[in-house]
Amino acid sequence: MVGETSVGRILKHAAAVAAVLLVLLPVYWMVNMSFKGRSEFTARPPTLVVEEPTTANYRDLLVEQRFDRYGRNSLVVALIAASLAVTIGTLAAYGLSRFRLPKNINYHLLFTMLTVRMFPPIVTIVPLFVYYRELGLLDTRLGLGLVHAFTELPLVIWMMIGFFRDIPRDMEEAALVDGDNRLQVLRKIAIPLAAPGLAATFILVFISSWNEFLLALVLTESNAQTLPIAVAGQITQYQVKYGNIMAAGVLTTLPVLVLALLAQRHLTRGLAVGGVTG
Amino acid sequence: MSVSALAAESRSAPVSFEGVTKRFAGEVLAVDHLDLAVENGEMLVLLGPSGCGKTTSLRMLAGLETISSGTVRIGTRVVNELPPRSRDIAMVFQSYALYAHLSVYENLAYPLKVRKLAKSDIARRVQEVARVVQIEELLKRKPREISGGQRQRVALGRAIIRRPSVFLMDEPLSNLDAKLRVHTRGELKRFQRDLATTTIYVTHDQAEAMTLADRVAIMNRGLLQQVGTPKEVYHRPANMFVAGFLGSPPMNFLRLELQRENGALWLVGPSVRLPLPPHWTGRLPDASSPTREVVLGVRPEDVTVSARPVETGIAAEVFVVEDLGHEQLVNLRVDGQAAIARLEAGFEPAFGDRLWITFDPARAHLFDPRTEQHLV
Amino acid sequence: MATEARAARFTDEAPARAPWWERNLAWLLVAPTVIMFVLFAFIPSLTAIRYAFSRVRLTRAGITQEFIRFENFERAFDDPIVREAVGITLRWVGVVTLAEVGLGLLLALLMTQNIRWRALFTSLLIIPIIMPPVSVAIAWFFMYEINFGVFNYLLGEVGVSPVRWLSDVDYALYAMMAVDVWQATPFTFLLLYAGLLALPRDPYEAAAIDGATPWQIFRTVTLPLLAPILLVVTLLRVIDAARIFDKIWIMTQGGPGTSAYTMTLNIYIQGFRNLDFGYSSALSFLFQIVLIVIATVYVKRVMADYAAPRD
Repeated sequence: MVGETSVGRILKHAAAVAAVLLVLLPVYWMVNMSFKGRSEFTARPPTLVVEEPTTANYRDLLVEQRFDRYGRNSLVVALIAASLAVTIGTLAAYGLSRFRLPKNINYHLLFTMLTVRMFPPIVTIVPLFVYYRELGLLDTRLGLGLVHAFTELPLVIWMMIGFFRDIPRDMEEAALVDGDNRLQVLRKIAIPLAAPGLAATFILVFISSWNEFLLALVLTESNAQTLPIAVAGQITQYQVKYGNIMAAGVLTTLPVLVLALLAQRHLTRGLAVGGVTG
Repeated sequence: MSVSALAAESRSAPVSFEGVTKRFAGEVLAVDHLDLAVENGEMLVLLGPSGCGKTTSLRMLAGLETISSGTVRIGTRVVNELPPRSRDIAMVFQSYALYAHLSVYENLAYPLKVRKLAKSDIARRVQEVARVVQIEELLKRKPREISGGQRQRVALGRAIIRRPSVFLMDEPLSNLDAKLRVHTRGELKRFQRDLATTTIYVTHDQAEAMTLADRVAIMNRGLLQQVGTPKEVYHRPANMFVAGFLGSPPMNFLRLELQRENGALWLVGPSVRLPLPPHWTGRLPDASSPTREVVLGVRPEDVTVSARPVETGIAAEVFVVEDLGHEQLVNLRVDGQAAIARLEAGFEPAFGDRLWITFDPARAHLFDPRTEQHLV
Repeated sequence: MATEARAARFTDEAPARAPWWERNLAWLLVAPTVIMFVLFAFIPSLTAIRYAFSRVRLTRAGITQEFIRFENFERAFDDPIVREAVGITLRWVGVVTLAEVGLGLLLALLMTQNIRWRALFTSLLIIPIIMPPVSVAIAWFFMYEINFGVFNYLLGEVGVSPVRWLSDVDYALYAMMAVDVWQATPFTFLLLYAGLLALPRDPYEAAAIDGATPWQIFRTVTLPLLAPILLVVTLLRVIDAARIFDKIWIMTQGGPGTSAYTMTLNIYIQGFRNLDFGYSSALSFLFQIVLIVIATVYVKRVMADYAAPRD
């Protein structure tokens, strides 16, 4: 860049590196702590790099406490949420992007959904809790999955509308002339072409559901308890198993990181509407 | 399989628009009571500037736009309520609209697959058509891997493969570069002949229309201006719009006054005094007033100029000379109005020269300045 | 040849019109969404309003509900805890949003400079956003630990006595704010960065030729052009910040004392610890009204951009 001094350049790079370090340090620390045995965990001063790494925490979690149970719950709930949200949302997104409903309903529908999205779940958890109790959906994976699906529906619709917009209209018109009915056009043309977007959206919903806390806290107890609740549960017990908690935290984070890597490119679009998960 | 054998399978049908109107939500009429009968097997070109309603009319015929009022028939069948797939039509889009995620083979096979043709039949037909449009080597490729011209041929092939009753074409050549366009134009014309199927072709390019059409239908602002063979609309335009739209450079228009004097007609202007042939008198609508305003229309190629004064000519001053090599376009000024004369190379007027324009009255037109209708 | 005949019949015997489901496809496509919306938003909202005006008790069978009109609301206005919660929530939203948008902007400006490995940095910066808030909360919980936490250790190295990060009434709230800022700043960064990248080049080149200083350029070119996006991002963060629950709950459960009692925590505790559904609903009703106003402004803005013609 013209006019940039070498001092300026160094400073800027230093600042960038500092920022990245700040961001990564807690993550590193989390992983670091998860491999510490109890004595090293509470050592003063704390060891910056774990000196006696042990997998005891992980083993304890997975074998003795059967933490994988919670992992399975989280997985099922997230899959239900993502599948449902993507299916229902994609259909609606196609309808809203290709058809113009009378009386400007398109706009009003989108507006309402986005506004609802902005409310924290806290405003409806009390009635939801009561209803779920009556319907027997309390503490079920299906029940939580349903709520999560609804929560993420606006995100799905918003994103899929964007992806459908990128598909040229006359490709679908050609298919109509060639002999397809409108559903076939959706199935054979629109969805295959929007497939990458679909996948990214699925992943984003999955991550949101996986990370979600409040609804899981209220609507589950023992059967359908998800990872975040189980992890938090470790900390409020009488005997805090330090290493275990960190290991649990790491385990909860890993799948999400992997998925995020896969959906990296489309993350910005989704985050703009979705906001920070939780 | 030869192209003429294709013709034998033709299921061509005539098309008619009866009072067809299209009104978009609260807006102006896009198409205003279109009455048009397309004959079986003919190539009818819908011509007009952008926004004139030609594409909308085509899309109504295709079933891609709803019809606000009126009737559209294919054959004897009223198709207003039919979805596109039931109308037995095929369409070539301006952007070709090839299925990006399918190979060329699958693109061609698509209409047949929908109709559940047997795999072997599909394969045979695809090979046939690929040969006819000359894309046999491209069958395995995807649309993004082939050139614009090749894509255009795939689009054509996809339309042909079904032997529909009617072909619809929405400016299929406008995305090609000029040279390819001219070349493909000729091929298209030949094709349409060989296929012997009714074709409705939309374009804004009047040269394209003139070369391709059996008949031309010119539209402006949703209204049909004139229908006729290229010769008819060129030499006997119904109004000033048609006259001015066809031909390049466009027809010259001069506002003059028509005067009756002793039973003879004169075209009069500040520096013009032209006698008109006597047999015109009968063809003019009743002249209760001795004078009326008219617009004289003469095509640039029908204008002759001479450096020496001519009594039955119009005095004009040279404004600009555009030398195109094989011909010259001389921009002239007649009493402040502009005119263009198309001359062969050789005669080289200079800026500011005074020239006299003459023309053959048989090739001249008179228009009413208000209604723009043709008078003589 | 039989299949050819069949193909021909496809058109000849085609039905007169498209079937009703195809003609009304748009409605059918949107229907499931509308149903979900009615089930999970509309009905519960109405119910919540009903509860807000009632005393609701949980029973073995279900609930009992009796209308008590405005009692819950009157109680809310008199309740000192509520007033404190409002103050805490305002403080939280204000500080956190300011920090996140400000830092995010700085980072974004930095990253638009010519930095090597910029793509790598940007990818790494995204990590906090997708991490489960739970994991983030417990990681920081232990970093804040008085005795063996990393922060107090580092402070000790420079001779500062240990800080009671999460157990001091004055510090706890701000300590937790730092956690949220850590997690959400990459988000504002991302959006602002994208926004900066999309800005036109010409004004910058003109300003450079005119001889403006970087600060002047920022003030007169960047800021005005970025204003719409800044607004959207700020609104979004405000709405998100108001939602805060899990991090505070996990780290201190609203403590020490009630120093971190936000509205959300208050609503939750009233509802699921004290089991006073009516009161909880009244509180969330009040909370909701404020949010509606902000949310509407945000959505209007976003939809305006969405409907605007693409460049």
